[in-house]
Amino acid sequence: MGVTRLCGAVRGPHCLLWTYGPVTQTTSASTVLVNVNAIRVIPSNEDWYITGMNLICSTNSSVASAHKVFLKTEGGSSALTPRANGGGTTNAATVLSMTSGVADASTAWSTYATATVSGSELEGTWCPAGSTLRLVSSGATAAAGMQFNVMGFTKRI
Amino acid sequence: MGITRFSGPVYGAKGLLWVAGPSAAASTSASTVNAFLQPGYGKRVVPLYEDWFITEAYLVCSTASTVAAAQQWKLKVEGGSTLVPRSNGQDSTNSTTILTIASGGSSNVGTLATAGVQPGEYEGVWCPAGSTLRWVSSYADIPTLPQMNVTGYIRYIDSTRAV
Repeated sequence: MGVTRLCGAVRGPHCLLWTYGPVTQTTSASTVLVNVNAIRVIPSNEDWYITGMNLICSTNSSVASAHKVFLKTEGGSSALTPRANGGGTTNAATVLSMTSGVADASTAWSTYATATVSGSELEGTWCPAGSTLRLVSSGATAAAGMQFNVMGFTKRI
Repeated sequence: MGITRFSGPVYGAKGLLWVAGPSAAASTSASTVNAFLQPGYGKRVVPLYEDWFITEAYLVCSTASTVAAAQQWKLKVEGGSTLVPRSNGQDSTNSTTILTIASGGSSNVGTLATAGVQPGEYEGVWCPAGSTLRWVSSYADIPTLPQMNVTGYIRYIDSTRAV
């Protein structure tokens, strides 16, 4: 195979965009953050397209489906340059969700989920510049050692 | 200089692929067990629709043995999926040690290790779609809070992508 040596900055590569954790889950409500800092704002000079997320837990409930995790996007900025395709500049959506299964009913849970595909894209959920990503969860018992690896690509605006 | 604005997703670009830790290290000394205290924590599965080629890993520890090479960490790949044939006819599974990192005799570890080169590739070890990556370790003294940053690039496998 060959090597392509672009000088950069190269926009669009599929890679790791955000990592968070390890943290212990502090809430059981599905609209509340996994942990107080489970939030981040996307830079105002680029859109993100999230394609998937890996989650590992050190401990979780032994009951199947006891835990659910959601990655959500909300907001954006109407003050930013309108997109070339005439689309809006804000988006509120659930990017992906995860549910612990029977096979995960142990002290360790490692899983991967693929994000919903936004219209006109090959893959990934559109998270506009300036929007907020939130990791929320539900569970009867708190999972521990939760670490999130969020993958996707960026698009300059 | 300049900027290249691919509309994406672009596959093949080198970047950060996986971060594990910081978290409590394993209390065992065997080289085939997980590097973290909690079982299964230092491992993950490569997504089913893409191959990963791991080129390096960087490991930091807040506290380590002052004896050189007293601690070792290995990044391994195992498995894959026989349901994902490659267009060039190669196998779809791989089992190998990607790289090894040893402590250098300081109370802190901050070490970069380069992976071997897969035959037919310019750089990186092939980790097929669906394979499992594992961090394992061995040591006499337990280090504190290791964190691993794994870098590499991704290759798209169109045979399994539902688009």
